[in-house]
Amino acid sequence: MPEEVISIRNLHTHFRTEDGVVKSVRGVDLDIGRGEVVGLVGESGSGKSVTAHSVMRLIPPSGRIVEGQILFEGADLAQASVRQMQKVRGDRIAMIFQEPMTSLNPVLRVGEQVADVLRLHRGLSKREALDEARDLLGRVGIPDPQARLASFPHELSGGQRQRVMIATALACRPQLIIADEPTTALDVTIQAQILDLLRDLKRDFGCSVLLITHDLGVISETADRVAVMYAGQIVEVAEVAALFDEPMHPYTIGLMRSVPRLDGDLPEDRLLPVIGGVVPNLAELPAGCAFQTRCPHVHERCRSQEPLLHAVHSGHQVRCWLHDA
Amino acid sequence: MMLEHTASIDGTMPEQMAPRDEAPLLQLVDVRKYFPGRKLFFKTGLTAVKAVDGVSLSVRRGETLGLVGESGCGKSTLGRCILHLDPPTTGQVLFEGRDLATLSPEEMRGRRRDMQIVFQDPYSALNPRKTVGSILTEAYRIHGLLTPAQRVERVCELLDMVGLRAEHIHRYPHEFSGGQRQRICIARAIALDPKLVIADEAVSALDVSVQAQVLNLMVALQKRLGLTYVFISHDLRVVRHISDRVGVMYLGRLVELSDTASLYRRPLHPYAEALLSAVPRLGPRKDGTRIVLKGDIPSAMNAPSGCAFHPRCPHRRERCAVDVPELREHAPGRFAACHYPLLDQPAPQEHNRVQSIGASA
Repeated sequence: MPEEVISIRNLHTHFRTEDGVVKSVRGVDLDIGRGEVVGLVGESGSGKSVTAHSVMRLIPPSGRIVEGQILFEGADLAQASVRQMQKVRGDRIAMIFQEPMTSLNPVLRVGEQVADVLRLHRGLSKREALDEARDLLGRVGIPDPQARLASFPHELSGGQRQRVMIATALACRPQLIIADEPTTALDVTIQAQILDLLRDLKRDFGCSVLLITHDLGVISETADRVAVMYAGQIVEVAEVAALFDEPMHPYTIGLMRSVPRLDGDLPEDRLLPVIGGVVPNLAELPAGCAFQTRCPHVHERCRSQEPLLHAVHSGHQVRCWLHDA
Repeated sequence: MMLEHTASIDGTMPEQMAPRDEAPLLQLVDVRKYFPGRKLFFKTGLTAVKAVDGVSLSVRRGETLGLVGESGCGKSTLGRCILHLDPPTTGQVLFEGRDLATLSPEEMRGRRRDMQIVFQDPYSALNPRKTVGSILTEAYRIHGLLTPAQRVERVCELLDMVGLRAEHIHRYPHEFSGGQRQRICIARAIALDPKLVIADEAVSALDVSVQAQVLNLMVALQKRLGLTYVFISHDLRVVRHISDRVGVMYLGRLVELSDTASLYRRPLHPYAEALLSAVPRLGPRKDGTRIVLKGDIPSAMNAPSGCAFHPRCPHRRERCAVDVPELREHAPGRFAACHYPLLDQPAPQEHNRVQSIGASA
């Protein structure tokens, strides 16, 4: 693997709620190499977004990083001060959210919004910043960027707004871009455009991307490596081809099977293979493996001992007793 | 059990599953829905938004018709027109041969028992202040069916049918997960033994594993109750899985209507082709290069001339900007609204594609 840009070590993020302490992230270890796109995939409540928000230190006040390190450019972001984080956010690590309409300021022209980042972090003059903003808008495929500088967000389509968000993220040539469901709110033909753009940018700018999504297809077409999350833990990590060729964790296998196929024969009875049961309550997790209540291969050991993430092949790690060496 | 109970509701036995050749359950004849445009300062002209612009199709008893398309293509508006929740501006909706527009309010209320809808967001579709029991008995109260004791019995039966437990009857919607809430919405939709259920993005808000469970439930209920589905979704995977036939919509029009297998094997309309190609694959692509359309979907207020897809179409020719193509049958059971349908072209693997095609907006 190439040199690491960021190393997340044993990250634990908990939330205080009326129902007790919810352990949203329970010991996540993840490295992202230079120029690498790592996909973080999981269903609602799996902890994928909380992991990303922990890296940016954007978790709400009820939440706290209780343990672990986030090593980035020689500093531990888990311990960084507010002032240090302000320097990192938007400059060294940028974030792209799902809904560009809510992350763009509706009363500011898009040119100003992109330029603001450049003025704040790079100290450019207003004129220089606007020129650079125009180039960035052009780079992310917005037609007639000079005219668009004066547009308000509501005058742009959803796809164009997401391009503006990407331009803003790229403004300071960050080391790492965290993209949290960047195409989930977009139509499928527009999603294809944005995924293409992300791939081009990774190639041209050499930045690393942490791509968070619930969509296995988006991961398959965009990521180099994938981490699958379930109940606050990474249950499987592999190169993207290896994961789709040979998924190992029963949850990964179940998840892939429950996605309807675009080709091949349909099942005679029109029924999809499902993962039975529901996601466990993160405030009252059972002893042992978190997936035990839904796993078709559950056995005695799963109920008492928690499996650890360990390498089965080089680069392919699984958290499951079935693959215990 | 279920069928006996149904019989007791209206005193008749449920109908047999109809043979395929019988008259369609639902027929749409040139349905149009125009919404008046906004009046802008200093501008007097009103531009109508042509949300649905001349859709004709029929749905057979017991089949599932999928309707796919991207935002703003009119698929949800069409669903609402079918139920006359938003009556169409012009055109007819024939349910069992009768035009819904000609029914008296009294007759229409009776008809509503036969036509139900399940929405995307089960959080906003259920009244948070009512128990599940109250939500599910409401339909019987409105239609004056069954005694209170029978209603409770029937609700327990419904809960069982959708995979919930009888004790859930006293709980409130917030006590359930998204998937369970959608099961409650489905239970409500089937409470009066409808003939037609419109599912408008019914599984789109659910996680993949929950989505599979709810899809399986819908398939099982269709088999058990002989339901006819109109399944509206932007998700081409889900639509393929559940539909017998699929209609593809673009800017208020049906651009292709085919049996599911043929459509997904070889679409006739260039938009259908691009749409299918844009769906991310799981694992490596087997079918050649992905087609990436340039530009955005035009506004329904200001649709392009001729074929509405022509500015983005990789195969467009001069005629496309001028003549509006009609939906025509190009092969048995396969309809497309295109002057140059993709009929006699080589399969995608051999076809030499350009990766990024079409005009930018």
